Amino acid sequence: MYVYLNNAATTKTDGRVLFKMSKYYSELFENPMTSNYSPLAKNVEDEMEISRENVAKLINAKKEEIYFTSGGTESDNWAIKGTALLNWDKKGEIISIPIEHMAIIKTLETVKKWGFDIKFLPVDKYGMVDPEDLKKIITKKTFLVSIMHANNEIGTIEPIEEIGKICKENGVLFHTDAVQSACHIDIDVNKMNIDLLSISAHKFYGPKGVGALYIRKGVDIYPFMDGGHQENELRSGTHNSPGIIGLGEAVRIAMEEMEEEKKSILFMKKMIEERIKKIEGIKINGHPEKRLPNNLSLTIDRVNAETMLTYLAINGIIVSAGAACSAKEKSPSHVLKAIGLSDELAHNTIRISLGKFNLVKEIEYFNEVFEYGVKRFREMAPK
Amino acid sequence: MNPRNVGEIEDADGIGISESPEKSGKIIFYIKVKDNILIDIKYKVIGCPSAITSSSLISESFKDKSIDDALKIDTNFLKDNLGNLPEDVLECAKLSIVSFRNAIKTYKKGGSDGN
Repeated sequence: MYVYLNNAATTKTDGRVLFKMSKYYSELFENPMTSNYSPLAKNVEDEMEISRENVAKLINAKKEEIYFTSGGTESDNWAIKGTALLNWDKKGEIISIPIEHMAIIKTLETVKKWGFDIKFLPVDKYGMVDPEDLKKIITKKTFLVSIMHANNEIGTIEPIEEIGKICKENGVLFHTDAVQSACHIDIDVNKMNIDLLSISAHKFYGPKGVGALYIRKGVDIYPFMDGGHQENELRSGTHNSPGIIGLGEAVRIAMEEMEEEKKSILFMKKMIEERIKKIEGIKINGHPEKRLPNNLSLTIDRVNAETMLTYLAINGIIVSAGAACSAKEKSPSHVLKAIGLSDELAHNTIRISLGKFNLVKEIEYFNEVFEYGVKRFREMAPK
Repeated sequence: MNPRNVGEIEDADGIGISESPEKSGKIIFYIKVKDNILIDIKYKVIGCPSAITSSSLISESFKDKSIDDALKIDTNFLKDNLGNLPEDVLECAKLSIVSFRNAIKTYKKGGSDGN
């Protein structure tokens, strides 16, 4: 049995998405920018606009406010660098939190080198930010607040509606990285006062290499790419039309099936939670209620995460870890550190992330293999 | 993953410990010696797969070998048996060598804690 429980890293592309995309690689390959004189290109353009509408509908935005990108990282880079560049002369400050994805953290490091001030709000042991802290720290120099909707490692959902309100009251732009949450939990850019929002198709059964940035009408942003006028001159480069159409199809499916998916994922997650409750010394990280349905971050006493990962992989089960000495990222996860885990406990932490293609029998299998592994590695460990 | 000789030796002649808490790594080696020969080697381990693998390897390779042979162990032993490990993985694997050598040292000092 092969059990994929790493859906927060990426998901399998839905067959319906793949099917829809395929003809835009073959007979409908034409460049949508040539729609004025080619009926086939017009077809591509129309279908791309349906994608734009779908994405807009998903987050309660207008179609004109959706800009297609190459994914979450580009959207995050653009939101921050694109607003920073417009504040080049007076510089000013950006407020964020330390548990953001690296696409935000690294971008903030870059704009800091450009001369901007970066402030980080603290998070509690659940990774939750307190909106009151934002009120205290926000100043006239603040031009952007970037706080993620939901955390990729521990699943905590941030209070972005309150944060959006504070930003609006202070006339500050609010960007949220919704890469983990879009198509999994509800988003409403108006209710939540969001000005900029990043999404990525491959996190919700769409293709890799395509995403979007929502830019509220009236928000000024510097173009991400200069070139051939695409995306209202703000993001040039020939459209990844099959990808964009795949994104739209994945969004359409999610809007129809999200609630059902959530139920089945929560059911399977509960199966794991019930099982691990019976095993001593396992702690679930992240907020107990305000959390993504699919995420389960576990710190397991006296079990090294990398060893657990290897053992699970040998048994055909794929999960991920917050720290591993052989991983490309050598130091333990900045997220686990920020919520107060020692290096040692970070090295004992694994992340299970479920998806809509998981089956109950896979979870039963996981539970058996996992429990046996914990028992065995603890027997091996010194007291 | 099937490490050999995991366990403790109750009346061990030497016990060695090495730790890397920041990486959740700890290895304890137990040795039993008769006429300068390692007649039994066991260990307890928490750590990444390379720490477990190298411990298992040591326990199998040095059983029925002399103390003098065992003392010659260094990182080349890991390189020869496990191939070229990346530097950071090698660091974890080295924990097993340190622990094993410590066990021999405590034996030589009469089973006390080898400080």
